[in-house]
Amino acid sequence: MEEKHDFEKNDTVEEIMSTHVISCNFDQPVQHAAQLMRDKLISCLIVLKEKAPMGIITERDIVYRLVARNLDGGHVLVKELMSAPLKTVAPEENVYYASRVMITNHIKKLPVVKNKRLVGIITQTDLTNYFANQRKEFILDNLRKSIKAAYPV
Amino acid sequence: METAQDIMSRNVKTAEETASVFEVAGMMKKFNISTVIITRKGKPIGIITERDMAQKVAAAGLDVKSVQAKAIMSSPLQGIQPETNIYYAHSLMKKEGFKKLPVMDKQGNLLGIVTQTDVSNYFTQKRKEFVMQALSKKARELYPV
Repeated sequence: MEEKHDFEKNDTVEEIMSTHVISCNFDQPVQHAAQLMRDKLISCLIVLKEKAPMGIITERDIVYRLVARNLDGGHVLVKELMSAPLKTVAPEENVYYASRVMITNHIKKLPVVKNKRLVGIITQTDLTNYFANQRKEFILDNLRKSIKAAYPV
Repeated sequence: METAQDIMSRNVKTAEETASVFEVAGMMKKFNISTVIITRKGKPIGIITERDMAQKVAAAGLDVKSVQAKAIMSSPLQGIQPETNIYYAHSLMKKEGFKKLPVMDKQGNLLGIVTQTDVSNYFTQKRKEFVMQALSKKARELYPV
């Protein structure tokens, strides 16, 4: 059997995404959204309108568009600060494709959408861990091979 | 093996601890950065990230013009040295939940910062190199000259 090359492996978005996505409503005050991010220890919320994802609000949006403008988060609504339209990816897409979408669009979070419903999210953290892990496996593999070659049993 | 100094950004922005939160947020926006290192008389003592801005400022509804940087910064600074290995830096990020690591020398001088983006780019680059090597090896096997 021909050996399958590592780069031909086809890990999908579904395999590394987080399925527990926290969302907020588009007409909530930004302060509530920030509290939710703080309490859940997350860096973004998917913004829903009638249960359909319509945008995203990140820590960066809050700094650039609220704090740096000295606006009152108790009055400004999520829909006024969020980034929209959403860039999304399908769960069956390949991990490398997701990584390309993030790099070319300069984004760090990519919601995963199936039949217009939010099913997960993939972040730069997920991708970094994935690539780092692959690299470690690759190095370990090479090490094992050279040990085997040097000390055959 | 590559180290922190090979991938760190050297252009780090700093602000004095008495600067207002509003000024620090303005710097983040102006320079398109996520982190400002906070200094006391020029010596780095803390860090403010986008996360601090969202969690400690926006969520609490603080008055951004009167609150000073020192009230919301994370301190003391937990940094790495320029010789720190990238894998170690990455595992520290994972373990502590940090996305930025200031790089400091033994005297505590700020040299740069390693972000999750830098680490991610490093691994992506390594991956590309590996794929290119594997492809050219395969091409050589298929079409020997």
